[in-house]
Amino acid sequence: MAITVEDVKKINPLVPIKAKVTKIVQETPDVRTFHISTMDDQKPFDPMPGQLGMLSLPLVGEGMFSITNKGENHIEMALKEVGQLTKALHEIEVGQEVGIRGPYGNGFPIDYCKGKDLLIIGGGIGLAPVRSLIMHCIKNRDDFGKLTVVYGARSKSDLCFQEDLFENWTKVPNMDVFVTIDRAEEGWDGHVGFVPAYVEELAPKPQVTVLCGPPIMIKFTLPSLQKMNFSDQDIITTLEMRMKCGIGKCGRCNIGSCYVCLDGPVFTMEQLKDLPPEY
Amino acid sequence: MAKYLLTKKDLLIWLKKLQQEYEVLAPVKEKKVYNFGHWDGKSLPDKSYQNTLKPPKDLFFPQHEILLKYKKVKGQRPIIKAADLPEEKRVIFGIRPCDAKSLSLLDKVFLGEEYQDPFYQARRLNTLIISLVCREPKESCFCTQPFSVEGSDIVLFELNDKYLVEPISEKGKNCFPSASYCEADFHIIDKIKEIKINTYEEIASADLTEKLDLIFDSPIWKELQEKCINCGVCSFLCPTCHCFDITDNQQGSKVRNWDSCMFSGFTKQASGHNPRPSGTERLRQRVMHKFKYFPDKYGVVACVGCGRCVEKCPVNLDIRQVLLQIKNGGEKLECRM
Repeated sequence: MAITVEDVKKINPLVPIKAKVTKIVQETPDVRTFHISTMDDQKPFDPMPGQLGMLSLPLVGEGMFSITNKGENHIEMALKEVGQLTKALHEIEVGQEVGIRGPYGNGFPIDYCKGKDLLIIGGGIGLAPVRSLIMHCIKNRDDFGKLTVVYGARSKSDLCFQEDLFENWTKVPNMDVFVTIDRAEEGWDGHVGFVPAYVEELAPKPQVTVLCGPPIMIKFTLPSLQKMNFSDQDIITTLEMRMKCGIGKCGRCNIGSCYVCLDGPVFTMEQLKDLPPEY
Repeated sequence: MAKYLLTKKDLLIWLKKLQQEYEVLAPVKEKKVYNFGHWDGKSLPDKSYQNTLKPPKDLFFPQHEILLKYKKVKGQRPIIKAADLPEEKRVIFGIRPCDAKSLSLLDKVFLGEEYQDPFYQARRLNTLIISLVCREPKESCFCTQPFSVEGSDIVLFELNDKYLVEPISEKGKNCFPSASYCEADFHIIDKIKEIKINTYEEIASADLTEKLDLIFDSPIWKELQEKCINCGVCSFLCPTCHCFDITDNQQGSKVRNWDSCMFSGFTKQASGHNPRPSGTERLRQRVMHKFKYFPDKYGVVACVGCGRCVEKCPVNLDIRQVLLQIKNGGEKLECRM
């Protein structure tokens, strides 16, 4: 049967689901977590850890963000205020109507990680995408080995998800959390230094490592991890590119022949080696 | 496949008949150039018609398009409503085979396996493509398949004052009353050979894709970029360039506009980080996308050899020369490890 225009009318992948913000958490001075549910209080869709969602604010714009966690009836996205859209999103209040579409991308290789010890590395807002994996591992604690989280930010106030870092995650069995900030400051008695050096110093020995942070941190941490003898397929990262459609058509989020929205955002070092360093 | 012989009069009568049911678009001369427009019902493109200035992509993927509207009702929250899909039934007559082929390439993008673009798809389903084979190539043309039927529903060959008509697709066969016309015999079909074709070697070939694999870090890109002004004319006039931007406007619509990988804002992130920060990376991206990434993904190069970019580039950056330089650069090019 040939497709007719009537068939086409039924699905429009560019139209978002109408949703609302049900809770806003101020993580840092410029990062807020938004809880998003459909208008009838359902989960907009069921994302896998590491997948993305296209969040839109009518009359302002649309942006692709990682989904940091999901609940029974909602998904969570943590946004740093950097541009026009995120500035506008930081001004909204609970109850605000938004549009959401997704989930997009491949997500983390959960099955591959099962039963293994994991080293999860985050820098700045880069903890947001890997938080979905951490939360998944905590919810399914017996499926995974030891969890080691190393997280760094510029300063104490720039540390995202502090409740998780200093309370919730410290109580999880077989899980270690190490936090560092770039420069010493008053009221901070934890570790001071950059993430790559801290990881080398801690020298944990899990099989698989997952990292996310600003491009500069990723580029500096990858050599450290290779030095620590992680195999290329066990170094996993999640990348960010400017996106517009999320469905592999608008042509801007490619790294070589891969579209980050479809083939990513999660890549192994093994895959990245075959791609141009354009990220 | 069967070809039918029609006189000019027969052709006009058939097109007039189609016009009762379809909006017939044909190359219309505006000042000195041709573009697709409403067919006047009587004239056929004359010898001065080589190709349209603009490629036909905007008939399926307009330069500016409303995707959805936020409808405001007083006292209520705004309603998100997808824009209505185009319903108009159209015939595009006189499209060149290279441009018809470009539609089959755009199909690979917009009608992908996982996601289909409903606006593009509706227009494709509602449109009949009648292509007209070129009588002779332009200086800037570099297609190697002047008789390509890809993307065409019906193909026409112009032979002096007569036309050979070859229905290709089911849609084309259904729209052409073949019983009313004589099937052309081989003497006549043989005349197609008199049509001049250019003698370019196939520059966009498989070994080019292999070459591109090795020269990502070559100094050739910087050298080429010294000439390029990143104006984006090549991508706007390219029948297969399809990159777009989506923005919200203040009138309450989400709109899609053509965009170009030649512009710095194309990949610039909100943080200021830009994975393709200079013209060198952007020029490389355009060449790579057409001749490496697109073939990697869809098995075919994203160039049909129409020559518009060659003709309209303000600094005469000739893609044919670029590709030959890449192919023949030999030891001059550095290999990427």
